[in-house]
Amino acid sequence: MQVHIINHSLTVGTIQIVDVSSSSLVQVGDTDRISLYSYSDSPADSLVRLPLAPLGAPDPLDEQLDPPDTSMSFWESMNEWEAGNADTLEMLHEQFWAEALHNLQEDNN
Amino acid sequence: MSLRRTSIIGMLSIIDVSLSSAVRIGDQEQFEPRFRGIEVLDETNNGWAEELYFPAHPLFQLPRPEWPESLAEAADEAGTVTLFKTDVNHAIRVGTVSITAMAGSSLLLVGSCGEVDAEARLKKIKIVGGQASLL
Repeated sequence: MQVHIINHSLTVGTIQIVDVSSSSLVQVGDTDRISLYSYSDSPADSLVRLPLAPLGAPDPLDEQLDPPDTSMSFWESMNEWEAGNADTLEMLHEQFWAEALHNLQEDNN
Repeated sequence: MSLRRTSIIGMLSIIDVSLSSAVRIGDQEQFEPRFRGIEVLDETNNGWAEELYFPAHPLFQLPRPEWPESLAEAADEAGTVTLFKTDVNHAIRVGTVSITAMAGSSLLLVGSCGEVDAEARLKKIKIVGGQASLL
């Protein structure tokens, strides 16, 4: 297939834009290829109904994270936290995902 | 890059450029901006957002969409597409470009470009009364 394009005179008076946002492009010129992606990106586990932010398990390779405390179960820690005896909410969050991953691995085995 | 037209702008006015956005005057081969944003609305005093180390979590997981198979098959059946271009007038003329704000891996390009591949991902989390919900 052959396509023949003829560009004649192109003159524009005024372009007035309030906001250019989220992978948008305003171009005055020619281009070969344009790919613009904009996501409201949600992880697959976003439906977890807990008093925690619906985040995925933290990356275990991240050096800024300490290994999760597994001395007690998540729900035991939750009760301790509500009673004011637990450490931090981040510890609870990591512990929950450590248990979830452990259960998932056991299910796979 | 094949022969391109010249872009001529009389006046360019931009108030704000932020968050991985760019204003480019001139030709370029490639532009690949990336933007990752997370918005947490915490209406409680529990400090959920402050205690979580967000960068350690895989927040953005959706893969890029692929072309439908029917469209790919149609492209294969069409075979090679040969493109010819004739520029009767070698200039694109614009009098005034006026933009108030640019954000989120946006691009204003005055000139020609080979490939543009922009991606912006945004996630919103709302925490109300101890219950976290996704918006």
